[in-house]
Amino acid sequence: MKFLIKHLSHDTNLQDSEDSRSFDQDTLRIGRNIDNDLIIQGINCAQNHCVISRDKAKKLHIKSLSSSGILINGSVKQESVIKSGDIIKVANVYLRINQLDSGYDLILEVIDENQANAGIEKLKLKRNVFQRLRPGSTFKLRRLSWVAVCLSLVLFFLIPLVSIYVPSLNNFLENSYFPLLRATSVRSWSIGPISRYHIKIADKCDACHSEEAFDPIPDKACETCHTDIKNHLNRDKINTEESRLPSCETCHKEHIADQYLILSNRDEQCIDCHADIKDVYKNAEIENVHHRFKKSHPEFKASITSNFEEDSPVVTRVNIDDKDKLKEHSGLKFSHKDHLSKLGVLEPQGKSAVTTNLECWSCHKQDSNGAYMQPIKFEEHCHRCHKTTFDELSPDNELPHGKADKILSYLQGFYKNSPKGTRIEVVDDQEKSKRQLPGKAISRGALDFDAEKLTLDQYSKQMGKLVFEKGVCSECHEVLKPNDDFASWKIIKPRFSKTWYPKAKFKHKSHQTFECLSCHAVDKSELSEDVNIQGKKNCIECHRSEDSTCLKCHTFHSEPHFTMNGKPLTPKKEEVKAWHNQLLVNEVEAFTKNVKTR
Amino acid sequence: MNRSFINKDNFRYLKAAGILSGLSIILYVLHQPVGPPSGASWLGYTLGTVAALIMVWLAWFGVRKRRYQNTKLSLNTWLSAHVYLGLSLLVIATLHCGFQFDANVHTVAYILMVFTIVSGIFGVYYYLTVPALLVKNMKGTNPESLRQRLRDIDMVALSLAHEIDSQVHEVILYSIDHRYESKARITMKDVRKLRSVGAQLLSIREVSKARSSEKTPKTFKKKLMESALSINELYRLELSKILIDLSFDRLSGDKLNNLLDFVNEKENCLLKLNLDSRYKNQLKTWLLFHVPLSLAAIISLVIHIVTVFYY
Amino acid sequence: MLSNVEKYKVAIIGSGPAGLSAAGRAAELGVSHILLEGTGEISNTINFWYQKGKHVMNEPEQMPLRSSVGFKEGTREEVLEEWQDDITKLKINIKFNATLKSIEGDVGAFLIKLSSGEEIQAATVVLAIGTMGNIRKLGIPGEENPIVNYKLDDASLIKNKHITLIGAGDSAIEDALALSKQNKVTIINRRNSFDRAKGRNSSAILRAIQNQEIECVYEGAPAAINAGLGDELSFAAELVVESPVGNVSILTDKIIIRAGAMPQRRLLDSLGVGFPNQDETAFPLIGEGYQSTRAGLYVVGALAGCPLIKEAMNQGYEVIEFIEGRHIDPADQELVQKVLSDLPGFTSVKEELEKIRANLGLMSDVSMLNLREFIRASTIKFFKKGDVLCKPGDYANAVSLVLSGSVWLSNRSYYDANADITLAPDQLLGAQSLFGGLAWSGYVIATEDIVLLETPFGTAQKILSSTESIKEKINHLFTRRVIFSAVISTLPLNEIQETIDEMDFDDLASSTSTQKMKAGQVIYEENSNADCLYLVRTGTVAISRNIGGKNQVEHLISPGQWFGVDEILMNSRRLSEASTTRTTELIKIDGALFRATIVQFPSIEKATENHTRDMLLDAHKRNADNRSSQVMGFFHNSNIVDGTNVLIIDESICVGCDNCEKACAETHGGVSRLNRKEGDSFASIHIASACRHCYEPGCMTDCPPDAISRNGDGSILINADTCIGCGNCVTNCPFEVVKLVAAEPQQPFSLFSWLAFGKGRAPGQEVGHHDPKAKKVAVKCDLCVNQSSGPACVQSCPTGAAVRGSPINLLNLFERRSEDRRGS
Repeated sequence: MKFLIKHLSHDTNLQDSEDSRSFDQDTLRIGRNIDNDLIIQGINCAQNHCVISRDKAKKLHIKSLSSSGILINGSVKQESVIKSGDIIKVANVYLRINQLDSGYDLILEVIDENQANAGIEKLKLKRNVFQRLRPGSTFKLRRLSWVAVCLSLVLFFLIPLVSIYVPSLNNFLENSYFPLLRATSVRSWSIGPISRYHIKIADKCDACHSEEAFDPIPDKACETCHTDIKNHLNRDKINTEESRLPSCETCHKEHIADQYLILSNRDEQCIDCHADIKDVYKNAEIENVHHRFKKSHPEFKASITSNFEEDSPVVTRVNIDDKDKLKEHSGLKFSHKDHLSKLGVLEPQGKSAVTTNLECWSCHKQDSNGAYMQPIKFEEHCHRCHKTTFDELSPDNELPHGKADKILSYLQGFYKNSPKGTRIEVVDDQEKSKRQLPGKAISRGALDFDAEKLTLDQYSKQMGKLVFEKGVCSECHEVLKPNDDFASWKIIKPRFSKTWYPKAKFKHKSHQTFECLSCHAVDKSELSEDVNIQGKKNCIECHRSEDSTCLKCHTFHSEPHFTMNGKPLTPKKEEVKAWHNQLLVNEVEAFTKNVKTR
Repeated sequence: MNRSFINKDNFRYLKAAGILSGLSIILYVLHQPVGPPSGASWLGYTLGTVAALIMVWLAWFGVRKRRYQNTKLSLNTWLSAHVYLGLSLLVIATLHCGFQFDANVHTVAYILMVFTIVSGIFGVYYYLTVPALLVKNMKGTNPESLRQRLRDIDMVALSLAHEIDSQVHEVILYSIDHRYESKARITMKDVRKLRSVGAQLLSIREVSKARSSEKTPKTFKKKLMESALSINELYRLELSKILIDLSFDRLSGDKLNNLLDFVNEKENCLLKLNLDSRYKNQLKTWLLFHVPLSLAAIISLVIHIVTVFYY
Repeated sequence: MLSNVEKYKVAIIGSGPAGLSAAGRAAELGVSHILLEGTGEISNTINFWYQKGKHVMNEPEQMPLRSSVGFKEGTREEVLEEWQDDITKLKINIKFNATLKSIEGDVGAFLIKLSSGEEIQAATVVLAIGTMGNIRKLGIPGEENPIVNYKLDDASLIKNKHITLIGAGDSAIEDALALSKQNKVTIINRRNSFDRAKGRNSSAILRAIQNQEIECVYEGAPAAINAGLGDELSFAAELVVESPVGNVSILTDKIIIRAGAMPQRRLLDSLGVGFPNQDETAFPLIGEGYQSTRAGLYVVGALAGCPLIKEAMNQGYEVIEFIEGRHIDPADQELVQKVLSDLPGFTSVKEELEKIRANLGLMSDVSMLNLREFIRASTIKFFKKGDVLCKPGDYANAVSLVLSGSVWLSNRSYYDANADITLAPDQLLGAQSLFGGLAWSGYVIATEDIVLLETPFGTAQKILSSTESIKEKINHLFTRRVIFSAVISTLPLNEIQETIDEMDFDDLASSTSTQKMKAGQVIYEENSNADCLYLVRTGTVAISRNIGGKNQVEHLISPGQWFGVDEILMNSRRLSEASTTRTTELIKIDGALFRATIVQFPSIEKATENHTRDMLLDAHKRNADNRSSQVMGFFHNSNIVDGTNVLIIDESICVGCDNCEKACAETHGGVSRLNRKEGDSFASIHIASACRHCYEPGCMTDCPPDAISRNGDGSILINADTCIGCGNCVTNCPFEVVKLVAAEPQQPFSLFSWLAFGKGRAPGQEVGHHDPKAKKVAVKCDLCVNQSSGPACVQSCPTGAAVRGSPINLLNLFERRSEDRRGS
């Protein structure tokens, strides 16, 4: 085995010098003792430090002769195989193993420590992980920072972005047990929980967020599903800047919680326009509202219907204080006062003084909704007392109610079989004001015509005129007589406003605890013209708190509320689920497809 | 309190941050937002904007720290403001989100921010305590001269050992190669290694003795493991013992005595250096958390802002 | 015999720039001449003392070169090469290895004797031997061996050698210390101590010897150098040294002889050249045409006080002209005229110069040559009546001579003809700063329109101190002013009740004596008799008291302050001990006379007594606080009281971020001018290695181009444009804070690309490698004058640990801080 020991020196002062010695022997001994092949001066070298030998496979071995071991590539070893490029440190000297093809089996380059530190720093010394992680180098800080930056970009931007297009990934992430994984789903971008009404489209962000980035949700997006929604404002008539127009989003906040989908406890959104409604809507007939109900709601206006005679009745809004105009001509003659008399009303059969006391509910019954009263029906509520009998002698015969055009033929039929008599009593004009007692037929009186001379037809007509004009019908109804021709006479069909306050929603059911009279002072109302409803003051008695928001009485959208394709929604969790399953799956798919293609 | 970045300008920035947080709390209490308190109300937006600006400004410290030319405010002032505004961010950002937390990027941004601030609090703690410990540890000397002293001790000890015996020299050489500054912290493994080296060098009788002594009771071992100081002590004792065993009958009592003194001094130097570098690491390690966390927080802040406004 | 004697018209001794130029001119004119050079090569100083590749500057730039020999700015090698060429071209008759021994005879027939025994006859002799002197050689066998060197170029290049140094002076010690880092060094000292060297050097070498870093042979006399065997194992040479213990044989790779240079003064004295004083460093008296006091013997070059190459060359040229009988105007005629032509009623340079000499008492003794140099460096300034020339606290950067008109020194910022305090109208302004490193104590106001001649310090100091009579006059003036200022400073302006005139203190000033003391000397002891008081002129005095057997420093007295006055006023024995902390100059004032003077002014007397009372109170307060006294002792021991603005790091809050150094490097071309880790520490107070802007700046003492100046705020600045990189300031700074650095434009960098990708250099990263050919200039802390925000190190300290300020302010700061700490 041939060795070459080469001293590398880079002393600039002494020129480059290399002095080398070669050996041809089995082993190479290194140490401080002079009998070594490579003598290393310096007290920090053992007397016999190590020995280099070669095995049969021509591999080089180094073996320490002292217990302190040898520093090979930065780690202390007792024995090791060495190869070209390895660095061994002995005392103050670095030994570089060089096995390059140069005629020697081993060239041992001896490098002084000082030089090694100055120039051959590249000697890569092994360092353990902890040493490498030691602080102090900005490079490490920079690397860690990059890791942090990239990690957050990937986790919270890239993965959510990808999972939009890869639903299975999104599903996996969303349903993960680990919050961190959940935080990397698309949902993690959502600013809050989706209300359960929209739960099905929750993971399809672009179902709503389809417009340009950073734009608010367009109404169009809502209207895709909510097709029948009616706005209470007509966008075309509104003369204000676009930005002031309320959009769906103005009042409907998603991504907060179920209960905030409709912001019912806020007045600001309403007041925003209504504070100066004329600016917003030139033709507005309503007054400005600056504050809440108690403070600045204008006095109520009742919707009074007139022209019931015509086919198109006219509805006018009348201030509740304007007593002169506050009359509603319904075509019915009815006195609440009389009917509710404390003395009671006479029983129809009892010709004696058997009376009965009527209550409001005797006639007015809540509808199924609990909002309004059921309509009054003649047969149900009036007929018991107010029979349409017309012939005293035949008290069982009643004129058909509500069929004015049939009355003539009915009379003709009646008198064909009955004698034309003088049995009809005509009420004197003077006594007109006197009410017939209920159940009494037209009383006989002097007829100003001769019944015998008249044909059946003529007689019937005369009798009909009497029934219309002076008895039976006109007792309760107003009769329209355009000319003398009996055929053209009509009973005005009584019509009532369903509610005088149609702009507010009101439920009788919610106010059941109050006496009817506390709002409807009908005990003094003699005429059916009277509008028996009270103004704002009466409501404020109770509705004075902050809770009495606009939406308590008013609805933004006109009826029907909350519909989707005309079907009313009564959202409950189970129902929503079922509904989603049946309806939405297809629709939303179709919709999102539509959106995507757009 | 002689803590200039804490009480800079008579706590000016503590006051500023306090006022900012107080104002936020008052507004938050008074504010009645649409829906629950959240970032979506005007106050939420305001607090969010303030918090985001503060966050960016805080991160800017890394840049400002390296700008040396014509700086209006001293870095000391900046640090003071950095610390206090950073703390106030805890209040402002929490109020901004209205205590809404969920597994989403917004909460992630918040958590990263909180972690950053917490690591910053560690930094403040270290900045306040460590310099005094450093001075106390060094007690008038400095690491450089200690290192020089270590080298000197090594060389003198080696020559002393050389004069005593080649085996003693070998032990000292071993201890030099295995006991240097960056390896100032040692474990039981090192002690055991040293023991086996001693055992090799000592006679058979000594070997068995050394082996038997290795069977330290477990509880004792555990106790030793609990404190690095004790291990150092153990190592030193072991080394001294080997040296005594090796050279006891070699008529070099005074040299041995000197050698043992050097061994003691070296261990003391190493302990000091070890403490020194540990303290110095403390001053820097927290930054390894603070800076990457702050950058991650900034990135998630950007994602938070973009996603919130994108939709 | 006689045939051996060569005869010449001119013999020029020394082949430096001046000699060479003179010889060149003589050769050009065909005057018979000989140029004698003591060594084997021309221009010993440049050739030998200058470092290899040193950049030689063309200073002063505006001065025209008037010489037959060329000279351009360039490296040392280029300059020497050009001269070498010119010697051949002009056929200069040069004789090497001709060391001057003596000059006999008279003008017309001088006989120049050389060491070699040769003799040369010359009609006139031009001495251009410079100030460096000849290298002292050992004169032992084997000295010609190439391993023997007389200088050290760069210690860092020599490694793992055994080097032997001979000598015990500063240069030998500095070399030894530098070399010992990487080499084995033996130093051979002829004597048994190193006390010839500066204190710092001698203590460093003693420490190194004690730590066995350097071996020393005391009382060793080198006897012979034997060449080594050349064997790989053995050393290059063997040095045999005779010592008290017998002959010592030292095997060595290199021998560096630092035995110093032969002093010039003795030679010159023997030649009969006259000097103004006995000062070793004084320049010879030179008359018209560079003629010395010995007729026919001319002195030019550095020896004539012209250390700059170009000026020396001009003188060489001119001296030949003079010898040839042509009275040419000096080369600086135009420059002088340019300065003087601003004067009202300017006629001619000669007349104006005469006028100045006649009118100004101070300048009457200055030689014409020096006066010209003085004027050349000066500028003429005009001020209107009532103008304020200086404010209190300003440091004068230059001295000003009042050419016409008069100025008043006053405590008021405005001119008031009826001012209560009238200071003496004066001819010289700025003496306080010039000689004491003191700031202005009052306002200087022009009482009428005045013309000033303003001269930079370096020039002024060199010229004014070369003449003993001027020195004395200035001394008196200075003493009077200092006494007066000290008295006045105790007195608030509104409490003045009587008329005080500076001249009232004239007698007191005349009666004073000056006392120079070394560091650590006791001025007076506690309980000794008190018959006088002292004013510190330069240096610092520590006032200490013996408390509990320990000597505790109570107070430090800076220049311009007085001490020992309490006892005079209280008529008591000495209450404390006074000792110097460094080389100190004191003005001793007679106590009785002082009292007598003071008594004339009741308000001053009262104010002085109040001042004394306050001082006593303050001292006792400090006394109560042992730690503060310790801190003061530390301040005192570490000499920071020498500084006007010191960088101190409070280690109890320093987090070791090194931002201070980075900030400094970043704002100063990539080289930090401070070193945070270096320097003394006491408890948690650490004095970082950085310029202290000393009262008496060592760096300023010998700056050939006057590039170092004191700024208005007391800071000491080096002008990089005029600095020639000679390195004098580096060696003169006792605190090792001046560095020679190649001025290189700092690499631009983008902070963000570094932050993000680590591209480019890091902010505040020191420039690692310098172009070795680049011009090197001296740099040190400049207090970041160009930055409005103040020193970048302080500004960029995140924890406020780094503070800069005057030692007294810092002392107060640390006292406050430690009180706070105790309080918290």
